[in-house]
Amino acid sequence: MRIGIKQLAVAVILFMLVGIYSASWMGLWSTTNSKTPAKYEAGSEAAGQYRPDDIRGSHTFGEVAELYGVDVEVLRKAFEIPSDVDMKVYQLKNLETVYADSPIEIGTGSVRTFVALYQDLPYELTEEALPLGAAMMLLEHDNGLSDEEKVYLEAIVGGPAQAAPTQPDPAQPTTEQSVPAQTTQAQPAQTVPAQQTPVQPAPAQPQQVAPPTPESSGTGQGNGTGTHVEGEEPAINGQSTFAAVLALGITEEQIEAVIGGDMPAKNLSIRDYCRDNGLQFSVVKSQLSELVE
Amino acid sequence: MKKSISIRTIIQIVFFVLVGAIAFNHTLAESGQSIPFLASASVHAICPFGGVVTLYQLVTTGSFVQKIHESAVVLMGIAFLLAILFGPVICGWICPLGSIQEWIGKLGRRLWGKRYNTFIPKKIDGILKYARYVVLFMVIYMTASTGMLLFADVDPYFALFHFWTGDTAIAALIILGVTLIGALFVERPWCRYACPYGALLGLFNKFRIFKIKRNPSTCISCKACDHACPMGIEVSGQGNITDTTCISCMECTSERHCPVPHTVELMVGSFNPKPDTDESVK
Repeated sequence: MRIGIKQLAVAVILFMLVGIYSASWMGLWSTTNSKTPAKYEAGSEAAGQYRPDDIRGSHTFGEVAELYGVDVEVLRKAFEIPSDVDMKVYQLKNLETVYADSPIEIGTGSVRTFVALYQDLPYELTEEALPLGAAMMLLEHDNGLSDEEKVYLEAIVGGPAQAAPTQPDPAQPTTEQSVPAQTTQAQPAQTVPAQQTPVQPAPAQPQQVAPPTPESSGTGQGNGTGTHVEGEEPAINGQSTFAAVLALGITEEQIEAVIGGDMPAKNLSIRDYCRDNGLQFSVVKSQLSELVE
Repeated sequence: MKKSISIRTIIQIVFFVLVGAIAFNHTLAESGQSIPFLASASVHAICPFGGVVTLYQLVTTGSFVQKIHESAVVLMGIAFLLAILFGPVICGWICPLGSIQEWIGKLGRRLWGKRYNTFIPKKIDGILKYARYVVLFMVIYMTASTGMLLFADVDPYFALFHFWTGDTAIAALIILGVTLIGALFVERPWCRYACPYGALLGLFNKFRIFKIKRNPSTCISCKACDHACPMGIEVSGQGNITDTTCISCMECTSERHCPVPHTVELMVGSFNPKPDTDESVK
């Protein structure tokens, strides 16, 4: 039996159409991730509320404001987003580009931390950096901040390093700031900034990387590796996977002893594992960190 | 005999435009605008190779590698089904990156004439074709071990449909550039030497159901099939084409470049031992 070019063409088109429509009919055709964050489970003090640790870079500030009940202008002020930027469409992942030249890494993780502390939601404090203005706002807002959280914020606000003579008002973009970069080239009929030059945000605040544990990752982007601060020991942070921990020299048996269970998939994030198995990430992290040392 | 525009070319154009439009719409959607009635999925969501790279993580953790969605796994399945039946038709009929290389290759043929496709000696070409499998192994291994779509940083397909945004890795843009310029000298250079997905689908040529077969009893050894093959396969020297680089484009067949009817066909079974007596060479 031979197949001619016309028959093959029909077969190719049919297979594609039938395959896609069948998958769609079965609910298997999804081209986007669900942007609805996970919620705290029943029994948690914040049961039913959205978890801030499930905020993603693809979320926009408008979506975060709506989901977590934070005024969008509060977010704008905290992260020094210029007033002409449309927060409804401005994605959190743009922060990495905006703050690319900053000595500290501000990104999606920073927004998670800010939202969690602003709304007093249960959250494992990691080493996410915050802009100075955001930390100051949180201290001023003080919505049930714990002692640990206050120490974390005060380390950012009142930390030793800065020679920065003036602390720019986070609500007032400084003259060094240009319009934040947007990674897409959508032409602004709208308020999405079109320029590609990164913002120069509130400068010279490296003391903001002096939270309790000296890790530098603030991107909220898991990369499966422990991050390193130059000149310091490798660290385990919220984005670390079990593969990263193994790469630091910890054995599977040691990991199993810490987590009290079988070694899970190596590319699973430790924080996700803890969350799914009812473990405290901070406890697991500190035990694993001790093993690294 | 070569027709003015083939059905395959039309289908290639349709998918190229479709993927381009979806990718552009995705960019618009990120800024709050989008073209209605047109999907705005990311190019990762509509690339079947995404399904391949996420398989390990899907099986071990039940989750997808970042930026990969269910749609990619569905497309992977469709591509595999087609490959089992007809070979890597995704490569020869649908992949926009393959298509644009082919179109640039037509320019190359006009520029270089018979010298086109001869710049790389056959021996070296034969060795370089295995490089695809090295790329395939590395991509799958690194994606499985990190859970991240590292290939996007070098993927020319992604670069082709993202170059207008600011978030395409320089390496990917360079590789795209090299690929497109290389297509002026060698036909489908990315497909031949580097495409990990083509490497995987090519394996299906060893056991596909409908094979490209050459009838030695009617073949006149004119080598038209060899010249027509975009992947440099010596069709005239084989009975069944099981070369892993075959992309099922059908250019070697009697409907396209082979001048003798029913001599090179996509078929299952054997050739009729008695050719029609009143049929003549085209």
